Amino acid sequence: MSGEGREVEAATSPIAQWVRQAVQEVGRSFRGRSEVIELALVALLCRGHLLVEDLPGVGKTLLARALTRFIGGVFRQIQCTPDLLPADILGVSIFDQASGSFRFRQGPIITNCLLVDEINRATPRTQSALLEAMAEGQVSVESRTMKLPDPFFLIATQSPLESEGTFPLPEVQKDRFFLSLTIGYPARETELEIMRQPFEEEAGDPEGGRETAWRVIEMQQEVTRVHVAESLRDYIVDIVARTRVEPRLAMGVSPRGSLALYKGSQALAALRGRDYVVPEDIKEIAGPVLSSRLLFKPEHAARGMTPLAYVEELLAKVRVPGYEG
Amino acid sequence: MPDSGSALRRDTGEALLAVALPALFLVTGVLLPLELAFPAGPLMNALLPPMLLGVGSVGYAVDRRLTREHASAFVAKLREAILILASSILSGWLLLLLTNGPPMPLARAASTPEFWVWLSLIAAQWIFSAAVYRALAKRALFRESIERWGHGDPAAAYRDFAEEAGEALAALRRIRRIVAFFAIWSVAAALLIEWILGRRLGTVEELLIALAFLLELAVMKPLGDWEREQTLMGEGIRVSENDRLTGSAVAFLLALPCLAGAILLAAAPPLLPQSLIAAFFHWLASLFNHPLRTTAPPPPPAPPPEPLVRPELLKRLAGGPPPPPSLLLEEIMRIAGRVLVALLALATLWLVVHPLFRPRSGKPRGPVALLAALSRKAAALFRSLAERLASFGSAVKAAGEAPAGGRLRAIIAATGAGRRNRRALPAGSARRFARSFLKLVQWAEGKGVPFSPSMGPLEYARLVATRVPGAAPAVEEVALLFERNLYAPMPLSADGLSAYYEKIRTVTRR
Repeated sequence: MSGEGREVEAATSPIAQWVRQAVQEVGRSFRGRSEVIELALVALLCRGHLLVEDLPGVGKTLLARALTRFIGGVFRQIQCTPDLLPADILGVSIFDQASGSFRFRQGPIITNCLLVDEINRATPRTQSALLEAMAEGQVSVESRTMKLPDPFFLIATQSPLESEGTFPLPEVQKDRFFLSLTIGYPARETELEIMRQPFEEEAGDPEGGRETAWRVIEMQQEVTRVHVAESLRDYIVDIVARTRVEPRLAMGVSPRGSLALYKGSQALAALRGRDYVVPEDIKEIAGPVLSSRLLFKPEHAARGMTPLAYVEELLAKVRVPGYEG
Repeated sequence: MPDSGSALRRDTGEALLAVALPALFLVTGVLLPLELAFPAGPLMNALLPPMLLGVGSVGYAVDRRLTREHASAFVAKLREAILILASSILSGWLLLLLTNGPPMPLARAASTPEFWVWLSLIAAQWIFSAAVYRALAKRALFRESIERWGHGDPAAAYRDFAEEAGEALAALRRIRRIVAFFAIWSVAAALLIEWILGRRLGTVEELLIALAFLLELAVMKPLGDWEREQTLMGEGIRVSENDRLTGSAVAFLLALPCLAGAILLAAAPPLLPQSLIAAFFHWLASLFNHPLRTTAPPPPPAPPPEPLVRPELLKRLAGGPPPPPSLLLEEIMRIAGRVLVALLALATLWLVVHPLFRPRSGKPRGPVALLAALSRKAAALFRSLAERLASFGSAVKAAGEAPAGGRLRAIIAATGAGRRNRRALPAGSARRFARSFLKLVQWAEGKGVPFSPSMGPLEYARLVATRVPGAAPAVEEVALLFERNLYAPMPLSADGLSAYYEKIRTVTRR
């Protein structure tokens, strides 16, 4: 993504206007990193989920809260610990002494926006329960199936630092997230501004929650209608295909990844006010979408090659279609 | 994009050939006044070849640079025509000057038939040089396009750049016809000298003409290889990068002095010791005891044709005293020269005519069909010439109504519009559209903004904006239009395309 303060182009389209408003509103709480907000919105518009791999205290919770408030949904947060059970997330049946029967109590996953903090501290079993819900859009507990609300947006975080007592998400599980990003430290001026005005008015109108949530669903449907030229589909496949034959990689990008790249470019084009995708959209979203889906062989990982650097190198090698005529 | 210095081809042969047009003009324009003012003779003549190479290389580089500066086709052809005419006149004058001794005014030189024979031959040779030069440039463009866009698949490269390959092939076929024509012309020159000017061609002249003929034909083989190469590429077979065409072009360039020598010797100008060129031919002729005349005699009556073998030699071979080796050698060379010229003339005739025997259907034509094909070709040629003349005439007429200052421009514009330009593509064609953006890229690269095919159009436009801020809005607009036409569900309208091309023209004129 480009640097801070990037303006949304051609703000005449409904999605572009909505995104501009979102960036503005959410940016009042989560200051100085509009590109992160845009990426989160891309994941939301593509009905995907977000993985944030970053250090503590950079504003992950703040982002999730501000985003949820803007879209007018219900926000829940789960702090993962090693003793967290799947039932703590999905829900559990509790015996009601008054009625003499079991009553199902929904877990925090039944929400519009769920922040799962430090997912790498939860056990693999608990992680699987979450990821299954992400993939299926519903949860099954004690022979009871419950559909998750719409829109449902999950933001998971994991710290890249700690390794003891953690269960890092394996790459095959990371593939289920639409894109991954890092927030990073804010710029100096932004940090000074945060210190001057640490608390901002919370974004969003609680009274208009339902209406805004319907709006998100409409936007999600609108995004799927963004045109992708045949040559650009080939371009996406070319990019992904190269990762599968790259000798430095133990695992290339899956078809789920190519689909994510496809949808992400559509969402980005819509953000920019266009009803068609251009190569720059694909290149811009490729890093966040593909980086979490690549697994380097140990010898190359040890040499300091990062997924983002590899994606940049890859994009510099693949020809953009259209110059031949 | 390579700068003018690096635009010089590494292949010396191509550089030499491409040097010919502008170089001779420049050199004769410089050398001639010096010769007139300071007839230094041998020193100046010795400096001629390296000066030709040196100045010609610069001329080549300048000419290539001018070509890359998107000079219009009409202006480029006009420039070539002027160069051909000027170099023809001046080279003829110069060589007559060098071999005739004291400076000769042009008017006096023009009164000699040798001058006009020389002039026509030179002009014909230079026209051919221009055609070969253009063909080489097209071929280079085709190769550059492939290298630039990094195709690993020859068939895909051929497909993507089929137009460039097609143009190169069309130029190639034109050259083959021209080569055949000039090969016949070489022989015709010999006959012209013998029958019309009344000069007797000696052994040396015949050998030189035969050599010129051979050298011209030497170009045909690599041209055939080139055509085969293009065909193989179209079938996906990678071919060797070995390029013998330019080497043969050097050989062709040598044909010119061979013809020159033949004409000079046959025209028998007075040979002065200070002329190195003349001295060389004098020495060459002395090897065969060629009787060189020192003054230009009046045209003698046409002598009776000589028998193939001289009677005295036949007598000696039949039983008389053995002929001296020099006489025998001379006679062998004379006979060989005549036989060779005759064979080569027949071969050329076959080269020109045989494609008509093998039409695309693969079945040979009978005599009647052949005559019909020849008639159709001749009719088409005359029709094309008539159309061009009519177009030029109407352009001149229309220009008469234009303001005085714009008459020439009006003629050029009208003639260009009336001509059938096979290189022009329809405004909406994908190829033209893509190429137009590449023009912008070439312009930007000239400003020092490198391009990579992995960059998106808008991405590149924004890079250009950082380096050429003045052109930023226009370049970005071009990129947006380009992307819209390529990737949007509906392409640009006719007005949009016009605006796009106009924007590119505006930007690339900066």
